[in-house]
Amino acid sequence: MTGGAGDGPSAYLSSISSVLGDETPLADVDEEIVRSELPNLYEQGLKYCRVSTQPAITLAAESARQTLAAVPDGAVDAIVYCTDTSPDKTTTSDGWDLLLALDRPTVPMTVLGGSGCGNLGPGLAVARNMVRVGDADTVLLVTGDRVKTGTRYLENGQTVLSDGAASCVVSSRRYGPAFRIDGLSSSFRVDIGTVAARPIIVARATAGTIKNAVRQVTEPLSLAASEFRYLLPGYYGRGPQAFLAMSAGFPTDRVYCPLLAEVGHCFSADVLLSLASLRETRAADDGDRLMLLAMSPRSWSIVVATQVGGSTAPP
Amino acid sequence: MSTVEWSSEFDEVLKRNLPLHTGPVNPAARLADLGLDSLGTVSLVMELEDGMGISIPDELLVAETFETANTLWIAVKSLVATATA
Repeated sequence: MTGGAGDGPSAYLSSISSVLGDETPLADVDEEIVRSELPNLYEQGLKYCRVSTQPAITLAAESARQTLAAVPDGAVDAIVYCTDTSPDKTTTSDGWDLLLALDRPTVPMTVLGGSGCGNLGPGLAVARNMVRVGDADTVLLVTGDRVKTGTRYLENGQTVLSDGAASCVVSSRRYGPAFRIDGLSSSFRVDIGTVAARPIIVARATAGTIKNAVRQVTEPLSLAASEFRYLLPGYYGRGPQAFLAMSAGFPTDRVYCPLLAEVGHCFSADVLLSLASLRETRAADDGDRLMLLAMSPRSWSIVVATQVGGSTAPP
Repeated sequence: MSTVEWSSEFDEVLKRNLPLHTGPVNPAARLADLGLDSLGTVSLVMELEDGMGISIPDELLVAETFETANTLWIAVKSLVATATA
């Protein structure tokens, strides 16, 4: 699945917000596997994870309310909710609860899953396409996840899962400083087995699929990796980050994972957290190109974005 | 050192991915001892495929293939021969 420039109006991502669980030192996580992996996790650059007892939908609503406060009333005419967390009731009920919590009971809503911690990629694709074909002018995109059962430790990513939510709007308008979405490519490969059983095969397939996804989205835009300021992957450990950078054709010093130590891996919220950090810390300039990598162990989305300033929305 | 001759392309790619090698690579040396880690293995595979016009099948992507420079060269040589036949 790909989408390049020139097929419709530009789509801009702006008004990023987030709500994270309580900052918890990894040493305080009550899991044997996390305790036994502590030295490795520290070496990988992690110090804390975020823990919440709130339902994912509550975290999502809290973040989304902050995003909605940054755009005019009535501007949002569609909502996309991305989650990999099993619903407390049903997926549909959770979606309806989100609309009620946001006081948007009549806004069309889509719940999106199937790409694990890479749900942001398909979520952006859906939101962007709504804007480009005219189905919506401004889409609220929300992620919300938490660890309900099982371990927080992720061996594949050498990281620890965190509870939290992030949100933004995707729109034909720029609500303040924004990121223009220039291209997007998503790939799946579910027949590769596990890292434990076939490490080299899985690593080669992952690297090859990322490389192809990068090519699919950069070639129509006539861009090379050297023209990007940063690669923004999820908050995986330093080893996996280096692997992802190599796969995408980036040197490791252009990987941007500013909140890895403090946040851990917050499912599909990571990339939005990094984009917000870019703005807050002024780590990038207007006009800088960014490559976003949203992924699960079996799916990969590459998004080309450009930081843009100014607002085109009415006050 | 054993006397195994391999192509210059193979030699260049191999050396690029062995951070601990100094001088010529001994065909019998364990690649792990020369610094080949999991990241380097994938890089090595991709560079061999791109540089030598081959596709390394899944059944060869096992630890035994990457045991020594010679075991890897035997696999690559066979694939190159098949590709150019």
